[in-house]
Amino acid sequence: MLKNYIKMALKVLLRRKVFTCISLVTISFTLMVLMVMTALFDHVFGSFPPETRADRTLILQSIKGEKLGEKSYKVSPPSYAFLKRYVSSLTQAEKVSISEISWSTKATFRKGEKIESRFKHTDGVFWEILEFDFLEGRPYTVQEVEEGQRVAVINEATRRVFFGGDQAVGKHIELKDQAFRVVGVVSNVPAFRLMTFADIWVPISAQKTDDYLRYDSVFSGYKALILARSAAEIPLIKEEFADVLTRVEYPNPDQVNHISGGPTTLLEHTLDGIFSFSMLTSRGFIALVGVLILLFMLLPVVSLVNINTTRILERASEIGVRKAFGGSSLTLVGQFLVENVILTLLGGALGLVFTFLVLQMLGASDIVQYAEFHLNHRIFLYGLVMTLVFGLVSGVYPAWKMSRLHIVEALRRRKQ
Amino acid sequence: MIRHLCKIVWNRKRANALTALQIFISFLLVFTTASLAMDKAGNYWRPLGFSYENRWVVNFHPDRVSGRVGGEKPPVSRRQVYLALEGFDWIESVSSADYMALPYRLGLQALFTVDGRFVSIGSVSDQFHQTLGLDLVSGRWFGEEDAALDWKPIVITQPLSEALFGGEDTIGQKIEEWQGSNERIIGVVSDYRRLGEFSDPGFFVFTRQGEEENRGNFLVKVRPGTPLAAQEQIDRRLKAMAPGYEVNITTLADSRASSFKLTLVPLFALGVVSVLVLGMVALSLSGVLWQRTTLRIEEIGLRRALGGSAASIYAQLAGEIVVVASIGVIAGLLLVLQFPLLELLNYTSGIYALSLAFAALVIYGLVIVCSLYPGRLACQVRPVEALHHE
Repeated sequence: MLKNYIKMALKVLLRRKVFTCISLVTISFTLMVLMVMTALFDHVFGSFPPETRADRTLILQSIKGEKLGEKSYKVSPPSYAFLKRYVSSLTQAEKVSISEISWSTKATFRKGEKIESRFKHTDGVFWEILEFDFLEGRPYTVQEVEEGQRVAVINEATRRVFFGGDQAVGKHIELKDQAFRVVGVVSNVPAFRLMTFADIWVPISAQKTDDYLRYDSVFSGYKALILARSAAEIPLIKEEFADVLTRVEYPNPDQVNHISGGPTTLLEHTLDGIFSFSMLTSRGFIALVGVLILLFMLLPVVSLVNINTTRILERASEIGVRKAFGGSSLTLVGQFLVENVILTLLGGALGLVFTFLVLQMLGASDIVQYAEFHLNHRIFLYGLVMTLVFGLVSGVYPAWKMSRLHIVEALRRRKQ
Repeated sequence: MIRHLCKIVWNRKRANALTALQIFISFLLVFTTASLAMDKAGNYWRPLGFSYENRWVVNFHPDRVSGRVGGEKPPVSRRQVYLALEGFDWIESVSSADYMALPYRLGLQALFTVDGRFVSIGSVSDQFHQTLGLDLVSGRWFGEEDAALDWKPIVITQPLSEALFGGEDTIGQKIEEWQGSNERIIGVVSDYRRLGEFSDPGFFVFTRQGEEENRGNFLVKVRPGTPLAAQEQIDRRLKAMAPGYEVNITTLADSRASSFKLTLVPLFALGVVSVLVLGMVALSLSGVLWQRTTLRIEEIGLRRALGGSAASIYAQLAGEIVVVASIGVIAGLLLVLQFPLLELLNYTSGIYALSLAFAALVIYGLVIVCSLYPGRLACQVRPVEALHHE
């Protein structure tokens, strides 16, 4: 039965090539835009190296401190000492890593050229929570960080600039007037991966002073990455941290004697960011973007419904004959839906090819530094689901309309 | 004629409703894209209020992770750094400004709002307007004599002064929205659109930082033609003065380029998507019209036989689709006109009117073009054939 439907669907598609082309262009293009959007979203929030455990990683990168009874407050990244005391000790967490929240820039002048590399201070656990793709060498260890060794992990781009792409492990790189021994080289991390992005990673203990160890403020410029044993245990960690906050000792209670906030997943953090961003830009801007996306998704569906509804009239005589010989409305609807889904699947396949091309172009355009966009099974799956939904939604109304065609009326119509 | 067209459209209301819906959504899409683009373009042609060429920002900070408060006394005072920078003969002017006051820096430190928009506040040194090339419209800029005042002098931008006082008699006024402050306005600059050419007119308040403070980053104006390599000299000199300190130099031209990218890339993507979506609508619309026209061969043949001209056939088909499109456009218009009432968007009325007109024009152009090919097919039908159709 299904085989027959498919055969017929292909025959119908080939009969009116222009209409088939119009439908295919509409479907493939719409799905391409949706899939490109999915891919971008996936690359920023999904599990990608080095953040392969994004689903069970929590981030604490800002806390709100205030003095109770006073109006003013401060939202800022916590200090190293605060995190060491109150976050590293969380018992529900599998691992906790403390690293610098942003990066510092180091400029190297070479023959009148300026080379900028960004470096980030991290601890040793950083490399255990995150899975960097090591091209050579190894990460620095917890012990090396404790001993304050001057070691560094660099990315591929830095290896190319400083060592001409030759083997870098064992060589030295100058940073802040000190020589750092390169112990490992990793693949470039795209710049939108803010948690991990840098060109050079060095131990947190490689700062010139030990100031960061002193607990003289709850605020400074560090973040904690908290790895849960499983995604299901994330609420436990949040609860435990909320409990820990009630027992915090404040280094300067005359300024801050109450802290609120807690670790969030990357997605939650970004949504917060978008919310506060919407306060910055014109009020309706975010609403406008939302409406635009909705409109964009609706328009192709309406277009397809419109063209499908019209096309049915072309097959009026066929429907009339089917009905006259006892074909039920339900079978007719089923047949038409199958035809429509086949068409959308074809369009979806084309869309996937377009998506691949657009992602290649985006990667090559260098809009975001070191960004590379790939198709993966997740995007493919989302794409398939979107295609099926698209095919069903755009097929239901025309199919229903077709099944209601009057037999006499349908038979009377001649083939055009 | 129009009544006749309306009647024909009404008779096939179900089939036409879908097309009207399609037009309605397309209209909204064109309007939003066009209004965003026009808003940005409108801003682009406005004066920026400052110059970015040959301006460098020198960031001088202790070598420790950023954001730390307190700490021991630095080895050099910021005044010494200031003087050292002034010592380079290729540096024409030096000033200091905190994070908020520098161009192309995102950030939000706002104590009050005016007309629903946040007003940014930044502290700058006395030479800031020369270094950045701000254009003083009335009053005066900060000077050394301000140190002795028992109130805080501020300089605001012209757009802010217009929003607050209608642009008249600004000097000496206080800002009522800024509660509990002891500030008075001493000068007005033409504009200061910190975030670049595409941003809205600047709502900015400059406060004064004293000679000895030199807080934040240093802004230097270098002699035109100074090579980037000269940054190394600053880097070396400052590091020699304060070992353990880090120096970070960026050019405003670079910052401007990346801020351009930040605005233009999404706008460009939106534009491309809109054009392609419109293309899709056009394709499906011509398909639908074509199909419907083939179903009306008898009627058209009859008209031709009775002496109807080709032009009248075209007009008939185009007229019908224009009536359907008008339903969508009017619905869209009614919806969009609610936006200013709801204060959803803060476009000027000029941009509103222009975008609406543009969207209507695009939609009507689109439907007429879509009706041309089906019209041609219809006109090619020989009356004899058409009459034999049954």
